[in-house]
Formats: sequence, structure tokens, C-alpha cells
Amino acid sequence: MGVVIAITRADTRMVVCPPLRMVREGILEDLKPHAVEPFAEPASANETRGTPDDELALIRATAKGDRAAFKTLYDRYAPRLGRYLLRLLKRREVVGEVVNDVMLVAWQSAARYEPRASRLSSWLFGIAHNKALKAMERMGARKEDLLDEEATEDFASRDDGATPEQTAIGHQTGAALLSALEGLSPNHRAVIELAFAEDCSYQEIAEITGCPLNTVKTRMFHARKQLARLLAERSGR
Amino acid sequence: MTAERSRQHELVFRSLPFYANGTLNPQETGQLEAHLAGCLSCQAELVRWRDLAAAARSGPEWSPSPADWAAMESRIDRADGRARDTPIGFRETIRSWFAIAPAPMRWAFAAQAALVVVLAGALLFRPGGARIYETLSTPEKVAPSDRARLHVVFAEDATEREIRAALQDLKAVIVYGPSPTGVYTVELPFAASAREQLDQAIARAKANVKIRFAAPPG
Repeated sequence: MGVVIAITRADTRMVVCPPLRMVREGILEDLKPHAVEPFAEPASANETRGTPDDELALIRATAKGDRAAFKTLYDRYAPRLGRYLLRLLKRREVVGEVVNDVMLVAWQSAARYEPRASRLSSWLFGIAHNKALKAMERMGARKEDLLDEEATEDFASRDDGATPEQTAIGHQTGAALLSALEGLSPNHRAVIELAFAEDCSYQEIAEITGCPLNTVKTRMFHARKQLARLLAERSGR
Repeated sequence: MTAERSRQHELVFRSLPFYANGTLNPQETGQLEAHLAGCLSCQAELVRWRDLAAAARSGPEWSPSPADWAAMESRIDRADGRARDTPIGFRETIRSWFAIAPAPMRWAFAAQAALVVVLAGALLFRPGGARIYETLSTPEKVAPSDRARLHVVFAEDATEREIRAALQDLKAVIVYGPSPTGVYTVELPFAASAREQLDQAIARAKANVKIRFAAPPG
């Protein structure tokens, strides 16, 4: 079993990110806390995030087998989880089952939820993210689509000589952008969706995707780059 | 651009998506805004991130169907070991009870069951006459009356309380029914010749959502 080790030029501390193979092979459990090492902006990374009292009460009641409390959580989160999964998996017919996979884990593991470690939404989306990767694997996603780009693509060590401005996508219509978003790789789509559809902070995205903080920002950068390329291709440039 | 300013520019540039979604902490926000005020490149980039954010927010939605929740409940039942693949039949229940019950209790149960069968038979097959269909409102044949009457059909989902309330509202009593088609005959507290009062009662009955039909007999 191995792990991917990336060494950044800006900060030579090692970054350990669980490779997807470990997730795929079930080596990492859905709920295993991700070893996120906050090597950038540690102050914000360590800030305590409050969990809304009612959600904490609901998950506690769920842990005791309260079906009504669980139904409330289901009604609250299934649409959000489903939206995220739909945009990653792009197959509406499988979304319901994967949402239920996620919520079943929540039902069975509610007692293990630790509010001081993460917000309930981050916990659920983390489960959903791993379930999505497994579903994509089952659906025959290409291996390169599921590679850990962050292991080799760090913002500080990019070797294509592009400045941030050179990756600018220019002014685009919403329809063109939405169409280009469909062409993003799952990992790039994930950070975009979590940031903008779910309004997650980069700390939350790090928790959900199981990667270091800098990697999240790097993925955003590369998502932008990939979008710029897709838009250029579609406009015939 | 100095090395320090270049480094600062790059840090801000990387943080712009999280400034666009409003999730940076106050310290990060302050540092970013200080740089942003004097950097046209970052200002332009922020506009592009906001366009992208708007596009992402307008993507396809999903919501669970009742079938999804039903499937969820089924999976929970299975996961909890409470799944009932096929309900245990009455015969299987009796058979398993007999297998473990003491002999005297088995005989007592058998005697009670036989008695129930005999009594039921006696009730259902009374010799010498047609079976009589009665309701609590018709203990005997309905006598003719000079009071106004209505034929009324209540909603299928009307509860006993709702039927009682409807009757009290009309100051009516049931004198016959339900008929095989579900029609009740109710008697009103005024003479059959009082047409105006009858029309008002009919209108009142038709206004009640738990009454599907109301009309004078005949």
C-alpha cells in the first residue's frame, strides 16, 4: 500500500494525500477521518466550526434509531447530495441509489459523528464524495479521470510557464460556462461544485475530498485552466 | 513587480474563488481586499470567478422521489435486521403455538375454537327466514312522517365525528340507511311543506365538503 507524497517548492513539508486506489479498494473506509495537514493559513484551518443545534439534535436522535429525525435529515440533505452526485456522475438514473448509499452510512454511523471534528454537511458530503468515486469506478470511469492531479500538479511547481492571467477564461456566457463545466474531470468538477453550489470554504473542501488545503486551491486553479482549454476548443480557437 | 508583491499577488489570485463565495475568514478577507483595491488583474479575475460561480449554481438539480425514500426505509429495515421478507401466515402461527403449548392448553384452545365455529354458524344460518339488514338508525321499518326528509351521501373519507357534525349542523337525524348504495335518509326539524326551509337545508348540506349529495326523496 502506498501513498502519494507531494513536495511543494514553497513549503517543503510533505503532503500526504490518500490515493483514490485506496478508496477504490476499500482500504479507506467511507468515514475514516481524512488526514488533512493544514500547511497554509493554519489559523483559519483550526477555527472551530459550529454545527447548528437542530442538526446536532437530529443526528443524535438518528443515532438512537429515531426514524422521524432521520427523515428530516434525509429531506434536508438528499436534494443537496443528489445535486452534487448528479453533477459528478452525470447519470440521473443512478443518483437516487447513491444518495441512499450515503444516507444509509449516516443512519448506521450517526453515533460516530463528531461535531467538533466537522460540520454535519462536511461529514455527509465526504461520504458522498467517496461514494461518487466508487460509483464512477463501477461505471467504468477512465483511470486518468480519477488520478490525483494534485500529486503532480501543484500551483507552485507548474512547469508550463503559464502565469495565472494566461489561464484566464475571458468573459463567457453562463450557458457556455455551464456546458464547459460538464467537460471537467470529476476532481475538478468536485471543487467547483463544492465551492459554488454548496458555498464550502477551502477547509471544508479539504475535509470532504480528503486533501490538503493547498491542494484544494491548486485544484481550483487547474479546474480554471481546464475550463479555459475547453472553452477555447469549443469556440474554435 | 517586486518578489514580495508577486508572491502576494499569487496568494490573492489563488484565494479569489473563496473570496467570491464569501468563505474566507476576516483576516484573509482584509488582506485580499487590500491587494484587490490596487490590482486590476485580480479585479478582472474576480469577475470571471463570479461568472463561473453563477454558472455552477445554475446547473442541474435533483430531488428524491417518494420511491427513493421508500427504498431508503427498506434498506434501513434490512440493515437493522428488521426486514420481513414474507409475513408469517396464520396457520404457521397456530402450528408453531401448538408445537410448544402444554397438552391441556391445546385441548382448551381447540374446545374454544369449536365453540366459536358453532356460534358463528348459528348466527349466520338462522332457520326460517331471510336475513334482516339493519342499521342503528333503522331498528324497525321507517314510519311515514310529515317532517321534511333528505337523501344524503357522505364523503367516503368522512369520519364518524364529521358525519355527526354535519347532522348536527342540519339539525337532522338519520331515519334510514345506509342503503346498499350508501344513501342515508335524514329527517329535518320542520314540516315537509316548508319549501324555503328545505331549500336552505339543501344548500347548507351541499356547502359541507363531507356531504357529496343532498336532495329530497322521490
